[in-house]
Amino acid sequence: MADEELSRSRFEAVFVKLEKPVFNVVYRWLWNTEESRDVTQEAFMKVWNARARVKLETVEPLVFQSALNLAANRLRVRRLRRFFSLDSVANERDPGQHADTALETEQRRAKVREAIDALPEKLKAVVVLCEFSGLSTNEISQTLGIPPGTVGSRRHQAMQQLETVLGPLEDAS
Amino acid sequence: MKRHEVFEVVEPPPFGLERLRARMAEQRRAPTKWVLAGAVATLLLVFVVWPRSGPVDLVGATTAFFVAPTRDVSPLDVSTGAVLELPSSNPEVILARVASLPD
Repeated sequence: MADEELSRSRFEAVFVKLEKPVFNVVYRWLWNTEESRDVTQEAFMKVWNARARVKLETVEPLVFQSALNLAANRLRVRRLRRFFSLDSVANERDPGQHADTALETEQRRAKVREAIDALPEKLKAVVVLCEFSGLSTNEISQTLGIPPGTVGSRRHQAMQQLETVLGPLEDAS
Repeated sequence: MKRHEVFEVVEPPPFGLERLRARMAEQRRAPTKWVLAGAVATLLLVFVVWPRSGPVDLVGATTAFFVAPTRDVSPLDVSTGAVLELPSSNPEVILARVASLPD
Protein backbone atom coordinates (compact mmCIF):
# COMPACT_ATOMS: atom_id res chain seq x y z
CA MET A 1 0.00 0.00 0.00
CA ALA A 2 2.80 2.38 0.97
CA ASP A 3 4.54 1.53 -2.31
CA GLU A 4 1.43 2.26 -4.28
CA GLU A 5 0.98 5.58 -2.53
CA LEU A 6 4.60 6.39 -3.27
CA SER A 7 4.28 5.59 -6.94
CA ARG A 8 1.03 7.50 -7.02
CA SER A 9 2.65 10.60 -5.61
CA ARG A 10 5.57 10.20 -8.00
CA PHE A 11 3.19 9.84 -10.87
CA GLU A 12 1.33 12.95 -9.81
CA ALA A 13 4.63 14.79 -9.71
CA VAL A 14 5.31 13.64 -13.27
CA PHE A 15 1.88 14.90 -14.25
CA VAL A 16 2.50 18.30 -12.70
CA LYS A 17 5.78 18.52 -14.58
CA LEU A 18 4.52 17.25 -17.92
CA GLU A 19 0.92 18.35 -18.16
CA LYS A 20 1.67 21.56 -20.01
CA PRO A 21 4.29 20.13 -22.40
CA VAL A 22 2.11 17.14 -23.26
CA PHE A 23 -0.91 19.37 -23.69
CA ASN A 24 1.02 21.63 -26.06
CA VAL A 25 2.23 18.70 -28.13
CA VAL A 26 -1.28 17.28 -28.40
CA TYR A 27 -2.69 20.73 -29.14
CA ARG A 28 -0.58 20.88 -32.32
CA TRP A 29 -2.49 17.83 -33.53
CA LEU A 30 -5.99 18.72 -32.50
CA TRP A 31 -6.01 22.54 -32.16
CA ASN A 32 -8.77 22.26 -29.63
CA THR A 33 -8.35 22.95 -25.93
CA GLU A 34 -10.95 20.55 -24.57
CA GLU A 35 -9.96 17.66 -26.78
CA SER A 36 -6.27 18.23 -26.08
CA ARG A 37 -6.99 18.22 -22.35
CA ASP A 38 -8.90 14.93 -22.68
CA VAL A 39 -6.16 13.27 -24.73
CA THR A 40 -3.51 14.49 -22.27
CA GLN A 41 -5.45 12.93 -19.38
CA GLU A 42 -6.00 9.74 -21.34
CA ALA A 43 -2.29 9.44 -22.10
CA PHE A 44 -1.41 9.71 -18.43
CA MET A 45 -4.09 7.20 -17.52
CA LYS A 46 -2.71 4.72 -20.05
CA VAL A 47 0.71 4.95 -18.48
CA TRP A 48 -0.78 4.75 -14.99
CA ASN A 49 -2.66 1.60 -15.92
CA ALA A 50 0.54 0.04 -17.21
CA ARG A 51 2.58 1.18 -14.18
CA ALA A 52 3.48 -2.37 -13.18
CA ARG A 53 5.49 -2.69 -16.40
CA VAL A 54 6.83 0.86 -16.54
CA LYS A 55 10.23 1.89 -15.26
CA LEU A 56 10.36 5.27 -13.63
CA GLU A 57 13.09 6.52 -15.96
CA THR A 58 11.01 5.75 -19.05
CA VAL A 59 7.78 7.32 -17.82
CA GLU A 60 8.30 10.65 -19.55
CA PRO A 61 8.99 9.37 -23.08
CA LEU A 62 6.17 6.89 -22.60
CA VAL A 63 3.66 9.60 -21.73
CA PHE A 64 4.60 11.54 -24.86
CA GLN A 65 4.49 8.41 -26.99
CA SER A 66 1.07 7.55 -25.67
CA ALA A 67 -0.16 11.12 -26.16
CA LEU A 68 1.08 11.22 -29.76
CA ASN A 69 -0.64 7.93 -30.59
CA LEU A 70 -3.88 9.00 -29.01
CA ALA A 71 -3.80 12.40 -30.71
CA ALA A 72 -3.12 10.83 -34.11
CA ASN A 73 -5.97 8.36 -33.57
CA ARG A 74 -8.30 11.13 -32.50
CA LEU A 75 -7.40 13.10 -35.60
CA ARG A 76 -8.08 10.09 -37.82
CA VAL A 77 -11.50 9.60 -36.24
CA ARG A 78 -12.24 13.28 -36.70
CA ARG A 79 -11.30 13.11 -40.38
CA LEU A 80 -13.50 10.06 -40.83
CA ARG A 81 -16.39 11.80 -39.11
CA ARG A 82 -15.89 14.81 -41.30
CA PHE A 83 -15.78 12.57 -44.35
CA PHE A 84 -19.14 11.13 -43.38
CA SER A 85 -20.33 14.64 -42.49
CA LEU A 86 -20.90 13.78 -38.84
CA ASP A 87 -18.68 16.65 -37.76
CA SER A 88 -18.58 20.10 -39.17
CA VAL A 89 -15.24 21.69 -39.93
CA ALA A 90 -16.14 24.49 -37.55
CA ASN A 91 -15.97 22.06 -34.61
CA GLU A 92 -12.24 21.90 -35.02
CA ARG A 93 -11.87 25.50 -34.11
CA ASP A 94 -11.68 26.46 -30.51
CA PRO A 95 -14.04 29.41 -30.17
CA GLY A 96 -13.01 30.39 -26.63
CA GLN A 97 -9.35 30.40 -27.48
CA HIS A 98 -9.27 33.28 -29.91
CA ALA A 99 -12.37 35.20 -28.98
CA ASP A 100 -10.77 38.40 -27.73
CA THR A 101 -7.52 38.34 -29.64
CA ALA A 102 -6.80 40.92 -32.27
CA LEU A 103 -7.43 40.05 -35.88
CA GLU A 104 -3.75 40.19 -36.66
CA THR A 105 -2.89 37.67 -33.96
CA GLU A 106 -5.68 35.46 -35.13
CA GLN A 107 -4.44 35.56 -38.70
CA ARG A 108 -0.90 34.79 -37.57
CA ARG A 109 -2.11 31.83 -35.52
CA ALA A 110 -4.10 30.54 -38.45
CA LYS A 111 -1.04 30.78 -40.66
CA VAL A 112 1.13 28.98 -38.11
CA ARG A 113 -1.48 26.29 -37.73
CA GLU A 114 -1.68 25.82 -41.46
CA ALA A 115 2.11 25.58 -41.72
CA ILE A 116 2.40 23.04 -38.89
CA ASP A 117 -0.51 21.00 -40.24
CA ALA A 118 1.14 20.92 -43.64
CA LEU A 119 4.18 19.12 -42.21
CA PRO A 120 4.35 15.38 -42.76
CA GLU A 121 3.45 13.64 -39.49
CA LYS A 122 6.99 12.31 -38.96
CA LEU A 123 8.51 15.77 -39.18
CA LYS A 124 5.74 17.33 -37.16
CA ALA A 125 6.21 14.86 -34.31
CA VAL A 126 9.92 15.64 -34.12
CA VAL A 127 9.67 19.40 -34.28
CA VAL A 128 6.76 19.60 -31.84
CA LEU A 129 8.51 17.32 -29.35
CA CYS A 130 11.73 19.31 -29.71
CA GLU A 131 9.95 22.58 -29.07
CA PHE A 132 7.53 21.63 -26.31
CA SER A 133 8.45 18.39 -24.56
CA GLY A 134 11.67 19.36 -22.83
CA LEU A 135 12.94 15.86 -23.66
CA SER A 136 16.52 15.33 -24.74
CA THR A 137 17.33 14.18 -28.27
CA ASN A 138 17.90 10.67 -26.94
CA GLU A 139 14.56 10.66 -25.17
CA ILE A 140 12.81 11.92 -28.29
CA SER A 141 14.47 9.19 -30.32
CA GLN A 142 13.25 6.70 -27.72
CA THR A 143 9.74 8.17 -27.83
CA LEU A 144 9.51 7.96 -31.60
CA GLY A 145 11.56 4.80 -32.03
CA ILE A 146 14.07 6.43 -34.39
CA PRO A 147 17.83 6.96 -34.12
CA PRO A 148 19.00 10.21 -32.49
CA GLY A 149 20.60 11.32 -35.77
CA THR A 150 17.23 11.05 -37.49
CA VAL A 151 15.72 13.31 -34.83
CA GLY A 152 18.25 15.98 -35.79
CA SER A 153 17.76 15.66 -39.52
CA ARG A 154 13.96 15.59 -39.30
CA ARG A 155 13.97 18.64 -37.07
CA HIS A 156 16.14 20.49 -39.56
CA GLN A 157 13.85 19.47 -42.41
CA ALA A 158 10.75 20.53 -40.49
CA MET A 159 12.21 23.93 -39.64
CA GLN A 160 13.14 24.47 -43.27
CA GLN A 161 9.60 23.70 -44.38
CA LEU A 162 8.15 26.00 -41.75
CA GLU A 163 10.48 28.82 -42.77
CA THR A 164 9.49 28.37 -46.39
CA VAL A 165 5.90 29.11 -45.45
CA LEU A 166 6.32 31.53 -42.54
CA GLY A 167 9.56 33.23 -43.42
CA PRO A 168 12.76 33.15 -41.36
CA LEU A 169 12.14 32.47 -37.68
CA GLU A 170 13.80 34.95 -35.37
CA ASP A 171 14.72 34.07 -31.84
CA ALA A 172 13.21 36.42 -29.25
CA SER A 173 15.76 38.93 -27.99
CA MET B 1 8.04 35.79 -37.64
CA LYS B 2 9.28 35.27 -34.11
CA ARG B 3 10.04 31.76 -33.03
CA HIS B 4 7.94 32.05 -29.86
CA GLU B 5 5.00 33.12 -32.00
CA VAL B 6 5.26 29.95 -34.04
CA PHE B 7 5.71 27.75 -30.98
CA GLU B 8 3.41 29.67 -28.70
CA VAL B 9 2.89 27.92 -25.37
CA VAL B 10 -0.82 27.34 -24.69
CA GLU B 11 -2.03 26.98 -21.11
CA PRO B 12 -3.99 23.78 -20.44
CA PRO B 13 -7.40 24.18 -18.78
CA PRO B 14 -7.25 24.39 -14.95
CA PHE B 15 -7.74 21.54 -12.47
CA GLY B 16 -5.90 18.98 -14.56
CA LEU B 17 -4.43 17.22 -11.53
CA GLU B 18 -7.79 17.07 -9.74
CA ARG B 19 -9.32 15.57 -12.84
CA LEU B 20 -6.56 12.98 -13.08
CA ARG B 21 -6.93 12.11 -9.39
CA ALA B 22 -10.65 11.62 -9.88
CA ARG B 23 -10.03 9.27 -12.79
CA MET B 24 -7.47 7.32 -10.81
CA ALA B 25 -9.85 7.02 -7.85
CA GLU B 26 -12.61 5.86 -10.18
CA GLN B 27 -10.34 3.11 -11.47
CA ARG B 28 -9.60 1.96 -7.95
CA ARG B 29 -13.29 1.19 -7.53
CA ALA B 30 -13.44 -0.48 -10.90
CA PRO B 31 -12.42 -4.01 -9.71
CA THR B 32 -15.73 -4.30 -7.83
CA LYS B 33 -17.52 -3.76 -11.12
CA TRP B 34 -15.39 -6.46 -12.77
CA VAL B 35 -16.07 -8.94 -9.99
CA LEU B 36 -19.81 -8.31 -10.35
CA ALA B 37 -19.62 -8.63 -14.11
CA GLY B 38 -17.71 -11.90 -13.73
CA ALA B 39 -20.29 -13.31 -11.33
CA VAL B 40 -23.14 -12.39 -13.68
CA ALA B 41 -21.31 -13.95 -16.62
CA THR B 42 -20.70 -17.17 -14.66
CA LEU B 43 -24.37 -17.38 -13.67
CA LEU B 44 -25.38 -16.84 -17.26
CA LEU B 45 -23.00 -19.57 -18.36
CA VAL B 46 -24.35 -22.03 -15.81
CA PHE B 47 -28.06 -21.38 -16.35
CA VAL B 48 -28.34 -20.36 -19.96
CA VAL B 49 -25.38 -21.44 -22.03
CA TRP B 50 -24.49 -24.68 -20.27
CA PRO B 51 -25.62 -27.61 -22.46
CA ARG B 52 -28.60 -29.38 -20.98
CA SER B 53 -30.61 -32.41 -22.01
CA GLY B 54 -34.06 -31.83 -23.43
CA PRO B 55 -36.88 -30.72 -21.14
CA VAL B 56 -38.83 -33.29 -19.19
CA ASP B 57 -42.05 -34.14 -20.99
CA LEU B 58 -44.56 -33.69 -18.21
CA VAL B 59 -47.44 -33.12 -20.56
CA GLY B 60 -46.74 -36.35 -22.39
CA ALA B 61 -46.45 -38.34 -19.19
CA THR B 62 -49.67 -36.89 -17.79
CA THR B 63 -51.57 -37.48 -21.01
CA ALA B 64 -50.38 -41.10 -21.14
CA PHE B 65 -51.52 -41.59 -17.58
CA PHE B 66 -55.04 -40.37 -18.20
CA VAL B 67 -55.43 -41.90 -21.63
CA ALA B 68 -54.25 -45.34 -20.52
CA PRO B 69 -57.16 -47.87 -20.40
CA THR B 70 -56.21 -49.00 -16.93
CA ARG B 71 -54.37 -46.67 -14.68
CA ASP B 72 -51.64 -48.20 -12.70
CA VAL B 73 -51.18 -46.52 -9.36
CA SER B 74 -47.46 -47.11 -9.42
CA PRO B 75 -45.63 -44.56 -11.56
CA LEU B 76 -42.19 -45.94 -10.96
CA ASP B 77 -41.63 -47.04 -14.54
CA VAL B 78 -42.04 -43.54 -15.90
CA SER B 79 -38.59 -42.31 -16.90
CA THR B 80 -39.16 -38.73 -17.98
CA GLY B 81 -41.87 -37.69 -15.56
CA ALA B 82 -43.92 -39.24 -12.83
CA VAL B 83 -47.66 -39.20 -12.34
CA LEU B 84 -49.01 -40.61 -9.11
CA GLU B 85 -52.67 -41.11 -8.48
CA LEU B 86 -53.71 -39.96 -5.06
CA PRO B 87 -56.65 -41.40 -3.09
CA SER B 88 -59.88 -39.53 -3.71
CA SER B 89 -63.13 -39.83 -1.71
CA ASN B 90 -65.18 -38.82 -4.75
CA PRO B 91 -65.11 -41.41 -7.56
CA GLU B 92 -65.93 -38.63 -10.03
CA VAL B 93 -62.72 -36.86 -9.15
CA ILE B 94 -59.27 -38.14 -9.95
CA LEU B 95 -56.41 -36.61 -8.02
CA ALA B 96 -52.96 -36.95 -9.52
CA ARG B 97 -49.57 -35.67 -8.49
CA VAL B 98 -47.24 -34.80 -11.35
CA ALA B 99 -43.51 -34.44 -10.84
CA SER B 100 -40.42 -34.26 -12.98
CA LEU B 101 -37.53 -36.58 -12.37
CA PRO B 102 -33.94 -35.45 -12.51
CA ASP B 103 -31.88 -36.85 -15.40
